[in-house]
Amino acid sequence: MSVFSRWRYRLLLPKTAALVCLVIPPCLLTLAASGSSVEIFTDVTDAAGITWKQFSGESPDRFMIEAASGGVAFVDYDGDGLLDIFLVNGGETPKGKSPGPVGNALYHNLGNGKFEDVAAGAGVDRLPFYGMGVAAADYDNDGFPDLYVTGTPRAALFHNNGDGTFTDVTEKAGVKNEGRWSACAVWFDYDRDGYLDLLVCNYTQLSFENPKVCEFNGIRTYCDQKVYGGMPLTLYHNNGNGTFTDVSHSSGVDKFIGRALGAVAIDVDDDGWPDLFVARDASPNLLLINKHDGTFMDRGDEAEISFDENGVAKAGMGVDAGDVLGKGHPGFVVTNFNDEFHSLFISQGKYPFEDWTTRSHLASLTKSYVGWGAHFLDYDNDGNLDLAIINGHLNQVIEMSRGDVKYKQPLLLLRNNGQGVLENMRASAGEAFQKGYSGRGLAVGDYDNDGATDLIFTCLNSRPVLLHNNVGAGNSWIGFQLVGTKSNRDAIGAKLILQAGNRKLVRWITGGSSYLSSHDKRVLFGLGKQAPESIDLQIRWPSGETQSLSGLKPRNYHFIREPSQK
Amino acid sequence: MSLRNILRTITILLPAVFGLLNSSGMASALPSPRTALHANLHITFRDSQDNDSAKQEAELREAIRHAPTNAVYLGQLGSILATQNKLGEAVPYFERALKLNPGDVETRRNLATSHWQLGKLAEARKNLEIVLKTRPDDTLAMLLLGMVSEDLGDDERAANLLARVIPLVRQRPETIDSLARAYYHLGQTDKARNMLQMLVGHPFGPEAVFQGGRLAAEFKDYDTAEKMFLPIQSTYPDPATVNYNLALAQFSAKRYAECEKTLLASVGYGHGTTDAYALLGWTYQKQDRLPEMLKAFEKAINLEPANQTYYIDLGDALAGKKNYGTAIEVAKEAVKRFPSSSRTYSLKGSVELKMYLLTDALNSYSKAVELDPKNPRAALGLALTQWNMDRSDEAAKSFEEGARRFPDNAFFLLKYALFLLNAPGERDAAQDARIKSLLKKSEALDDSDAETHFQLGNLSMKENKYGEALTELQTAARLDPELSKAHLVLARLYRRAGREEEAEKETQFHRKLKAQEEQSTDVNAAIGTRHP
Repeated sequence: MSVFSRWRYRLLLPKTAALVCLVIPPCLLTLAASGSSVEIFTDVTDAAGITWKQFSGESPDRFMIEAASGGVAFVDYDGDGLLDIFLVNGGETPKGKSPGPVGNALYHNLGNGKFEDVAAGAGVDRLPFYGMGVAAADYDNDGFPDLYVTGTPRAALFHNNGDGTFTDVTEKAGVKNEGRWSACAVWFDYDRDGYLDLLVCNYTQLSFENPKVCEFNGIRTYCDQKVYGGMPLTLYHNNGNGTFTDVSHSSGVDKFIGRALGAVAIDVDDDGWPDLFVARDASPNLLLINKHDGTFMDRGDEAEISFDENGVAKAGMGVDAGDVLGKGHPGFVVTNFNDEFHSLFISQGKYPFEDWTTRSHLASLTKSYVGWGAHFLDYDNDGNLDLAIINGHLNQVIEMSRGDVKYKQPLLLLRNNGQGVLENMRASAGEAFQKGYSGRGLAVGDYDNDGATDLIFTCLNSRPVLLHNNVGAGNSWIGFQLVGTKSNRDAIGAKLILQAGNRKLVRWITGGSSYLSSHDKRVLFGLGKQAPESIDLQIRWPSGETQSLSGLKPRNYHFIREPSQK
Repeated sequence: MSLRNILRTITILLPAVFGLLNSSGMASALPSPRTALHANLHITFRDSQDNDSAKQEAELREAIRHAPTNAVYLGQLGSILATQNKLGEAVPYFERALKLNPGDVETRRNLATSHWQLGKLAEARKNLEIVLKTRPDDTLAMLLLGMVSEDLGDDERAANLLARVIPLVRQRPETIDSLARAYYHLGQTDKARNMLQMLVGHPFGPEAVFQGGRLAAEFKDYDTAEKMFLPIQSTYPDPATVNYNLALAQFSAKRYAECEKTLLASVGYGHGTTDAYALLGWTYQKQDRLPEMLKAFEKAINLEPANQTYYIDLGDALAGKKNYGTAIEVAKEAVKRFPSSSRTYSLKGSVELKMYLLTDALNSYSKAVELDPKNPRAALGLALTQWNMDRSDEAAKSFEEGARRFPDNAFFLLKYALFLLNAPGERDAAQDARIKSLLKKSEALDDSDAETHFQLGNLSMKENKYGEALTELQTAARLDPELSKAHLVLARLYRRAGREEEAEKETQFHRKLKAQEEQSTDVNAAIGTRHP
């Protein structure tokens, strides 16, 4: 069995931190259960030393992109077992100039709750274009995650040299995506050859030369999305030698023209091949099913996720997938515009999916919000997938018209009762949940390896907000880092079925998800208050190999290597 | 004239009035068949007889005083009273006569006629059924029962009965219209058209043709309406009216260029009424010819500056073209000129709502409601604005109050149902029932609104009542073939039913329509200002 707890991450923490983790949990449990004043998440941005600010280039011209950027990634770029943070900056516009250089940030996790910006030294601080989002993954299987940064009028691939630096290999790799305003990017191995391929969501073709003019009550504001013509998706096939081939046409994805903003790769139909859910802005969402021959077929109509029941293609921005009902099938959350409600689609293993937007209470919880980043997470480790959503309006003058819709909007933490009904945890979630933000990207990950999922989200023209999870470690948990050998090294596409006593939990290592963001690729299972001594796990690797493991100990991250070598 | 002569005359005349005599009356509005026939009955009697009816009545009353159980006298007095339009008095005499002689078919038919004229349809039907039981081939009773049935909304029976007495039907424009109306209600458009065709060249002249055209237009059969109006353009005594109606039919059929041609010709002949100019304005609006639209409305306004309708038309036409800047100026001017008009404030509110100036819209609609609580547009606008402002409780109250105040306003009921349907919370069975009842009521009031059928179909889909859903959705798609969402949900329905080919067809059509919608996006629309 190739299981070894090589990384007992908690031991990597300073002694005091480890002690806290060992001693605090019962106490936290009690406090959380009694609804005491312990906040679920604490804003640790200041304490972490994160000072970087996003710059959107906001200008009187009101280019839509000014209101749309803000990628963020939790990524362990240096392989020290601690998640670092990469933040993508926007850029200048003709009338939106920055007083100083517009740069990205790469915050190195120092392991003591502090981070240090090393972007310049790593060679990822500057972009020769307006930046949007980031997708982090090890595309060349060398053990170090690389960064693909989207934007307009092109994108960039930064290869991780393994020594703390990156090299821009965009041209050589052939993934420039020239002439397009790209938003999300998804690493996934669609042909299961062991190398991660790349899907790029394109929004439109943006020109800073000819701003579109739209006014609200005499005040210049951003135009309706539909004013912007859509673009096809781009799919790059990884040739396994550091280069990629644009297979958008041969795969059939270039026929899906629309304003794509978010995408997640997951095996929707459980056939072992990764599929795609693409959220598009006022264009029908797509459910691209992998046909195993290098092509995809949109089953959005069959799944009934393309349009709402009134035929409206909602303003899909962020998307994530997870087993919301605990039945082993993926559900999908899609963030939308205010009055549209963010959507929740539940698959029961067949078409059509069920629209749970109202039933889950997501409709009433999100009516006034414009949603962006969204991700399922089991913040309290009770075994049910909860939901974090960051919101923020685009129209600066919206409050002139609507009392209920604010420009700055809250971060939502929605607790799943296990039956797919969501509850807003605002009251106990922490101070950060009482404020309004122009939120955009959102990433999840356990940056301090305490077994509790933390959050980071970006805000337009502001600092990002890093939130530490105080309660997750109060319940039992178990985490896994999978390393593919025959499969892609990040094991994107793997399906994990965990048996803990009578409870079966299913998780996937997805590609993409949320909005413009990249996440901790480890899989964290919440086990509730009383975890069994021994836990069993079944893995279906992206290669199709299956692996069964038993006797796994909770409250540990387990490092699992795929059994057979290529 | 002797009593005998009077009685004989009446006996002859009563049947005759229903089928044999001509009329040269010209009504400006389509009269009900009952009124028309009654009027003819009255006119016929007066025109055909020199005798003094009062004298005849007196003679009959005297005869009855001497022979109170003489059924013949009683029936005859009833008849003479009926011809004098003293229907309330006539009925008891008919009834007394029938009590004495229940088998008197003529008197029973006369009683039924009076009942019909009095609006007592059930009684009329009952007596006519007795007549037909006794004398199944009584064509006059069939004609009458057909008319009564049509009045009662029993279109199938009306059509069956009237179709059996076509020779009688074709003699009167009113009866032709009745049968045509029954056919339209039954969806038998071709038969309705054939009936109306009988009016062309009918001895009753262009008025009958005109009324037939209006009937066709009432049932949205604009092609037939146009065919009726065209041949009487030069013979109808009021060319301005016939031209306007012709243009209106062309406009309703979305043949805007032809409509424009008709109106310009009419104006050229000196029939430039305000209504004609206003319709011309709308015709230009539909053709995206805004400068000409402005001129046409301006002409209408100048012809009748004291009439607020044309300001409202202009404002609505501009708003319809998303020219909100000018529309709001027009609305403000209208409010200034007609400060106590609920309608002008409603116009202002509607433009402000479209501009997403919700606070302003709320103020305007509130004022409009205050000025005239019976103005449905104001009440609806207020509710919609509150809905947009997410003042759900207030909106619910406004909708509920409006539904009470305007129970016959199909559009209001539909919007109320949409408000309830779009509420973010989970609905219980009672709320679902309420929504369905509002939609059903709206449908009963106006079954031509595709949105109503679509929503009913969608609800049935959710209840897995696929048969009902299919009917409603197909109706929605037929009524508005460009209603893309109807095709989307039809595709979903077919797919669920395993009818893949039809599903694919509907999907493709839906996609085509959505692409067209995308093409027509307002390039100056600000983000976040779409409203429910």
